[in-house]
Amino acid sequence: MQARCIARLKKEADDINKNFVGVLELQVLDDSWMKWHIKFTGAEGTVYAGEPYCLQFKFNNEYPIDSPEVIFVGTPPKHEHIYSNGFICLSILYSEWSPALKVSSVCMSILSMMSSAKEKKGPPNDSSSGLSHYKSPKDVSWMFEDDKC
Amino acid sequence: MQKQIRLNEDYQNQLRQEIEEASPFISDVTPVDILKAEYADNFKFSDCFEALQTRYKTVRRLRRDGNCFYRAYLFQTFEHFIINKTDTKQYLRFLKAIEGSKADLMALGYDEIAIEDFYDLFVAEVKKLPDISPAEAQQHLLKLLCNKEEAVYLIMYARFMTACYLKQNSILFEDFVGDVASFCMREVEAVDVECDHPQIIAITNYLGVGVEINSVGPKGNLEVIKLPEDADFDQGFRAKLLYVPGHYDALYQ
Repeated sequence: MQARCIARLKKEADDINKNFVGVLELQVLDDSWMKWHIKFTGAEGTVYAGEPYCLQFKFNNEYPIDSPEVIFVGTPPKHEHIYSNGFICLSILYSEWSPALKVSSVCMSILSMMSSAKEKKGPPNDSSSGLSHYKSPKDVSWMFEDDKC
Repeated sequence: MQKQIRLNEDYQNQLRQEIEEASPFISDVTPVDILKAEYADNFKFSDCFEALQTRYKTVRRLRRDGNCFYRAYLFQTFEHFIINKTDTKQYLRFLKAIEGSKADLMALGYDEIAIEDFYDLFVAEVKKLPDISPAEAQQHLLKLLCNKEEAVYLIMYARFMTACYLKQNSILFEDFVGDVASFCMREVEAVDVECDHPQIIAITNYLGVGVEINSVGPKGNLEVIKLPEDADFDQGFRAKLLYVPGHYDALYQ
């Protein structure tokens, strides 16, 4: 599975470097290709306009069958589906992951979810969620209550 | 819009592990009597299995991992094309549908780099079928469809082709499944998600290979359902499946 996984990741990296210039900035963090950072800026005309953010993707050998682990690193945006520890409540990252999705499509979904926010406000249960006990957001049993989350 | 987050007790992982240890992906052929014994406690099912024995002699059991329909369907269909070399008409129809599927999916907005690895493998394996001798069918297919590498890719691509037909014909399905795109995300393309009638109607129509499903009827009787119902599909091979609530196995005469 590993050869397929790496081949796919290299294709996706080329795709991001070629087709998302000025939108997504990719940094592959190690030689194993299994950990990426992707920097982007909040979209113009939204409450996050011009603000820099960084997503971390961690892959395992089962990718793209298995979903990547995706969190915000650095300061996460204040958003009702984004927790202060960087975890993101978005169904396609967990139960609705499909190998038809790509790193770039995940980033664009997160950007779109942020762009629809009317105000900067964290999740109502951010402090009481107990998420700090989890090493990975993929270990959390998320409850998705609307289309975006 | 409060998000409730409950503790994950690793229950699902534990369940999955128990299933893996208990059963192979696809069993050898076993006399259907085994089913009667297995469901002996359930009086409701006993008539059904009596009737089933008059139609079928043996069964291949499938692992209960959410992929049983797709795995059984691919096994029997591939097996048919290996053993019945003269059925070129249905084989060529099948191959043509598969070869056209990448363009069909891309026309629906799927990205080439996300689907091509799955597509390439599926096409290559289907093209090999005519060259495999019937005597090697079982060995070849148990190897191909019982592992956590190629088999996962083949089943995943079967899911993409299922979604393809559902989306191409969304007007036929939306009254039953709601928004077809979100149905596909939740109930078709998600890894290891089980299969229901809309998915079966979709993949059988797309690939031109129907199924005959033998299932327990509401009164414990045997019910035989053909999908698609069209008589056209009776001209060719139909995969023969047994359905007990929540699970498919493969039947043999």
